[in-house]
Amino acid sequence: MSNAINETPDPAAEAKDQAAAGQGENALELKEVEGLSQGRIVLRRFVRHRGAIVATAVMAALLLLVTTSIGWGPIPGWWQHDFRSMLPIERPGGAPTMGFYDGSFQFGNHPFGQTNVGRDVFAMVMRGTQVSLTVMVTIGLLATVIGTLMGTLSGFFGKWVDNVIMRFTDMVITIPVIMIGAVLGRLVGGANPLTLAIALSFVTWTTMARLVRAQFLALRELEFVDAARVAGASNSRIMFKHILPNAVGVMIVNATLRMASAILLETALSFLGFGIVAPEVSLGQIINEYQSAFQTRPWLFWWPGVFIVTIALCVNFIGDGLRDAFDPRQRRIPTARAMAKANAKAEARKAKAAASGAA
Amino acid sequence: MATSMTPSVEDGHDPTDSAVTAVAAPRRPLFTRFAPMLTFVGQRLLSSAIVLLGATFIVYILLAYAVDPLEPLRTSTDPNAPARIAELTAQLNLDVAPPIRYFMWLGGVLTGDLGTSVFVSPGESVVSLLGNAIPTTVRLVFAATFLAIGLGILVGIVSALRQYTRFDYSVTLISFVLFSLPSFWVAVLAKLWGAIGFNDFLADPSIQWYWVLIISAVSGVIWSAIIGGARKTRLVSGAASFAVTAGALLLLSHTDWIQRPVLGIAGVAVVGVGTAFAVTALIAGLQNRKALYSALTAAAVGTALMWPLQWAFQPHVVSWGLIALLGVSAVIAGLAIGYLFGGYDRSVSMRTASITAVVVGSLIFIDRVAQIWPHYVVHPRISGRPIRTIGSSTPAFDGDFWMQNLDSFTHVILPTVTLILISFAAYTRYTRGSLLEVMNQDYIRTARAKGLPERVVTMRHAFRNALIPLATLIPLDIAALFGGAIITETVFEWNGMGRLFISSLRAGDANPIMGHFLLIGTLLVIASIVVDLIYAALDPRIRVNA
Repeated sequence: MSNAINETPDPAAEAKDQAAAGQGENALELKEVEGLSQGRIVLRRFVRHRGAIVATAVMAALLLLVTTSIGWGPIPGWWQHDFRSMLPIERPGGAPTMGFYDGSFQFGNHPFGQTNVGRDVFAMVMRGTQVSLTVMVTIGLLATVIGTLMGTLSGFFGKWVDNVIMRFTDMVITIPVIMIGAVLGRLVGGANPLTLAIALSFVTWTTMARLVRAQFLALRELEFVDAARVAGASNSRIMFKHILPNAVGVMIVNATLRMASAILLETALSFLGFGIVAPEVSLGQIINEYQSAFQTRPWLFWWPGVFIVTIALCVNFIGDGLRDAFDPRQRRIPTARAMAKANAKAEARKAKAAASGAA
Repeated sequence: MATSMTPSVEDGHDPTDSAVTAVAAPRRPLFTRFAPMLTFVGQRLLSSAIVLLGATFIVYILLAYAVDPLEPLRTSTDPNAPARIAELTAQLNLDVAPPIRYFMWLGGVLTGDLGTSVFVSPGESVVSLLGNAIPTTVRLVFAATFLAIGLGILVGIVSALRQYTRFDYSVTLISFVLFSLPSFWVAVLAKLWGAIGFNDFLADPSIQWYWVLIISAVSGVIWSAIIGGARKTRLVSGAASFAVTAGALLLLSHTDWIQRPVLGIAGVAVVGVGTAFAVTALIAGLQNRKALYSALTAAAVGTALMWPLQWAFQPHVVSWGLIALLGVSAVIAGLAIGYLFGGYDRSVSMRTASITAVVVGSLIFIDRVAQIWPHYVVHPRISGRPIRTIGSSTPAFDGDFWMQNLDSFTHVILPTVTLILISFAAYTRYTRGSLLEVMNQDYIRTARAKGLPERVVTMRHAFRNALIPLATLIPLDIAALFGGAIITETVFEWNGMGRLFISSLRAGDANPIMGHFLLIGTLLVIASIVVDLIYAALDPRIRVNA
């Protein structure tokens, strides 16, 4: 159910609309994007989605903070504390030092507070975000690759290949993700986020496989595939060079939205104790470890939660913006100003063409 | 269902017009008419059985490597450990390779033996463990699922009808936020605020003036956005709802209604009449006098029956069977009232009256439950903290029928709110998308062009067809419901299916996990067959026997 928002429209209808778009059914809209490349059109539509732009900016700022603060791999950090070290407790109970003290706003040594043994919560949250983001991106990419491969083979070859792959997909779908995630988490989980992410990718590829398959079923019947075949292209060339690029919009959108559910899955598993476990930290693991301290040390609970919500929300918005950008069915009538601008551009182009023709 | 498989177009879902009935199906012998559907169902059953076998095999093998029941014993220094290891190995066939063990387990399943638990509840059979967990889970998730569906559809419709307004954007934003909420975080927050904040509030229910202002302002903005229209209409509706909300809140704050929440016969009458008008406005339109009068009559009859019903509600008389019986009789009484009023469009009056009757009946029931609220709050085992956060009922709580039910209600409320918050956004988005899709169809333009009122266009032509994709979602959700809400059950300590799964996995007890998965896996594959059939039955464009 949680993927209901991720439903992409029926690809067959989409392909039809794509065809129709060329025939001037929505000529009004096409006028605005006349003479632009596919990439420019997508970018322009994405930029128009205000939520997506804000989300992209927030996400970029968050990434910058997370990578530079405590350092990540080769990147050096500017934050003074390590997330493991136990430090003397500064304020009573380890309360956050960020706030208005002595009449002015201060960050202090421990802006997000400290745990009961004095660990710096800011450093922990940064580290937890790094881990959760790693898991999220790995799942997003790997599940996309697996799902695309499965969907491509299934949709292109059809017949028994399709049957076998789709029954296998059904098997994986039948097992609830959180359930198999917990079992897998127990099998490979522990301190290494990468193995956990790889294991989870093997159960979250199913939606992608179905979407790509549906795209292939619609696209493989079109003339350009026949043309490629007549020209002597091999199966793999037709699959990956001719058909797949046409499905890339659907794939990008789904991969993004998959990442949003991936971070929720990882944090939920870590919360249950089947994902990332101590001494490694992840956002869900911090909440799990300190949920009983909620009343005495709420900051141990608030900050990781806020980061999870922020990341998931941003990724969801970016995904929504991408969907709008890639969706050829979106028919928003351009504003009068945009139309005037497009008209002027077309006039200029015509004049230029006429001029060069005359010359 | 079977009849609609044949190429007749169902009246309500007819995308064109009920006057244009589809070409009647040529009468063929019964068997040949149903044969394609039977083959279809047969094929689906067979392939689902294969899928289920494969899925259980995957889970079984994964479990065999993920959990080691002997792990704690291997490191144990207990002199009995080797004996215990031998005993467990013999009991669970641990000396057999996992794939072979799977088939031994499968053989047991075919004879109805799901094995026994060794750690979670030693010696108890998995069947009885599941039997105990299912009712708890159903009690928890049932209300939440249906409330989420109802609310989601409602908000989704309004959001679609007010597309690209501020209301629509706000709903979109809120559903994105809800989507992005981790359920465990919400559950812990609900537990804290519900347990501490709301109980404190209930102990001294006075609302500060600034809260009155804030809540009323929000309500004014929301209602003016929902009603929409010209600026004047919006201002008037906003101001009216601001005034009504503020008045109601002030009244609540200055009386002890929150501590003694009874509607009384006057309350039931007022709300009943309001319901009659609202239901008529939505279903029949207020100009349909027959429908309005039948709804009002149903409300009046219900209110008149309130006192006599109190006799049936006495603790030694009442039971859930009786309540169900009363509910059914409310439906029948409503239908009868509508029928008696008659008119050219009887069924509309019957539907209106029936819905009104059920609402009024529920009001009377709620009023009876509310009557014992003050007694419940002061009960020694509750001691003034009525919103509970742990378990599904107060242990060792004695009380009559009403007390017991109120007790389970106070336990279920927080987990339900959590579950609704998480799942309702999806239904909203889904309804919105589906309704927008339908509203852009040509037949909607046709309906408008021939002069049908917007209410008829929305409710009869658009909404019904928009529900089709949603109806195919619901069986899957109901099947998943039995799997339990793993995280919510864990946080609120409900001993349902989800918690059974988690505690078995923690303890390394494989049999209950397999039993749990077998149950929900079976339900899920059955539900997906049902979905296909529902689709074929509801959507005239889809044919099983095409």
